[in-house]
Amino acid sequence: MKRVFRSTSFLALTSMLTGLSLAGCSPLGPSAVPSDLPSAALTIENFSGSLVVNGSSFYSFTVTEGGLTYVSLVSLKEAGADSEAQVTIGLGAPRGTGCLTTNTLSVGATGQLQLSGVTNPGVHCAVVSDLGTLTADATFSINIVHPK
Amino acid sequence: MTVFRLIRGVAAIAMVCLTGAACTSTTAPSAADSGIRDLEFRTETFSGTLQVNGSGFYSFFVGQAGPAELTLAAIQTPGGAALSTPVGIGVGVPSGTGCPRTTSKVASPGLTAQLTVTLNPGTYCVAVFDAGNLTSSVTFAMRFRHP
Repeated sequence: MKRVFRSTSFLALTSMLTGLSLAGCSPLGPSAVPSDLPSAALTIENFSGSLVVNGSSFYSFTVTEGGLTYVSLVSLKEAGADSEAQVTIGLGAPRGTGCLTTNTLSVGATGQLQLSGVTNPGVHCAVVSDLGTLTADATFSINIVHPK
Repeated sequence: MTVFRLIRGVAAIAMVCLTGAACTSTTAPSAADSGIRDLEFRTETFSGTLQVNGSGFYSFFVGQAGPAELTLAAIQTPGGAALSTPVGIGVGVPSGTGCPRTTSKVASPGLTAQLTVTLNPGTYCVAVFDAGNLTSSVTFAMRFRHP
């Protein structure tokens, strides 16, 4: 099971990075290629759930080695159908009953690494929020690529 | 010889003075001198609604190692009537969409802390959960004090 997850994670990371590279928008800058990223030092976590109109949902994760963390909105569906709506994704730290964001970005579901931020060792969170663009409750899936 | 005695006498007096000065100027090491800082505590409150078989959590940051005290202050019906129903309380580290508890207990509301844990610097969460005693939703108020 663990091996399957690792393979799946590696494929997912490779796919995302290849997609970015082909699109000419590598997260590490113009000269970066997929091999520049030490995939063994990265962890991919998937967060899927429901997002109500004007709602918010967050996911906490732990980083033991500092580095850059990337977040991508993989899918967004409203009433079961693919949605082109823009929602806000963010990175931050769990505080109170939510995720106190330090950087956010309004995105559509492209699957590419869209938001990045430096994460020091500790507990962090990724959040997806609707700021008024959803017309119906939605389901979403985001990928979080972070240092181990 | 007389000159030598004189010098020896002056030196002896000087030693006494120095010793005396050293004794009078010595003070107990302060916390600042030793690098030890007094613990500063912060009190936060977490309140909300607890559903049957439900749970809730609240995340917070600890800046210094030290003891954290958790007090379940009140359990009430949605209408505001006080209840003594025991519910679960705990402390953990936020992970995924929840708060996996590393320490927990079932407690009835009271005025004194029901759970005390020692925490190192980092991000933690306090949780409240139905331990199987609720038959309808309740409101709760929890107070916690941490470094």
